[in-house]
Amino acid sequence: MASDQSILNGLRERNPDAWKWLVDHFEGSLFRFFVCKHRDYNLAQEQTAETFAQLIRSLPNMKGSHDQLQAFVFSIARHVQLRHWRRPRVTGCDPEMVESVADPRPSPATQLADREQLERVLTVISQFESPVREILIFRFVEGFTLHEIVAAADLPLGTVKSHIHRGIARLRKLMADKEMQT
Amino acid sequence: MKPHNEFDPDRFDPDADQTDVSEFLSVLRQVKSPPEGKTVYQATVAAELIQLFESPVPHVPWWKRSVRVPLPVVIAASALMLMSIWAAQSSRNRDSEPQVGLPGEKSPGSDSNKTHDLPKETPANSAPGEEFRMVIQNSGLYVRGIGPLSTETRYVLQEFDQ
Repeated sequence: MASDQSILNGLRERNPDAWKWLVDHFEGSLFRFFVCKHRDYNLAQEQTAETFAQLIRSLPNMKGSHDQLQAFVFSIARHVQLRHWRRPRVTGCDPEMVESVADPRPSPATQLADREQLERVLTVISQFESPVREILIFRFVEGFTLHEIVAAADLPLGTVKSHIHRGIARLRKLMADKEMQT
Repeated sequence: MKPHNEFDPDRFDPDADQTDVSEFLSVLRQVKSPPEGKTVYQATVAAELIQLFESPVPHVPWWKRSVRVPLPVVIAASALMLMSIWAAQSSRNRDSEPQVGLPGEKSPGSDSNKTHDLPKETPANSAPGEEFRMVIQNSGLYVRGIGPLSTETRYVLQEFDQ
């Protein structure tokens, strides 16, 4: 792809090469976003695929330049996630159980050197309600700017700042509690 | 005046030291999509693109487009429309009811200070020696500030005593 604008034009024209670039660029961060929410790798993979399918239909109507692409992708991901919770679930699922029983293959987390640390962080971050959890992930994991968070979370700037401020305070408290336990 | 512990967005410093939080959450960056995941996503995208190219959404002119409206809104709008039709019809019926009373009488709803009849007799076409003469009677309902509401003209043959 030659330039950012040509990528965006290619996506709008549904050029397969542009869409291949989009999948390569966002699949990791989208998968991570859903894992932090559900702690279920199969569901995260399913929702990542659903997000790409939704993007194909909605991205041609996207307003703005290439700078807003990341925020737009994650705003669609948020809608996919919300729609999932509106749907009735077939069974109640315990994330730990799903991870150990539903998929016999080794999960990506097992490939990590420090699996315990990952589990600890996922346990802590899952205690946050939406949209604070998403905002903390956007800010500290994906490295979004404040304005990108505003666009992705569809919230006013003051609200985003307030969520970050309170989220950090609570996260520090939870981190201290975890250290006390260990 | 704000209490000390209340958050002020204007004083929020996005570049404040949050290294501990970043380091704590940085382990999440190591979460990677499984190797077969990328194949699944590429296949999903390819299938969607093929579907869109094979059956593109046809351009529908605006007068053929439809919109989804929730059922409660439809019911509320229908009830409102029926009520407004009923109200308009009843007020029209009230207006078209005939006025009871003679032209010289005050109408039941009229204010005596504002309305008055103007009976007027004008001899016309009368000639000396004739037994009858034609009298024109004009009457009307006049409301001060608005003007005449109704006028009536009668041509009457009256017996004339010489």
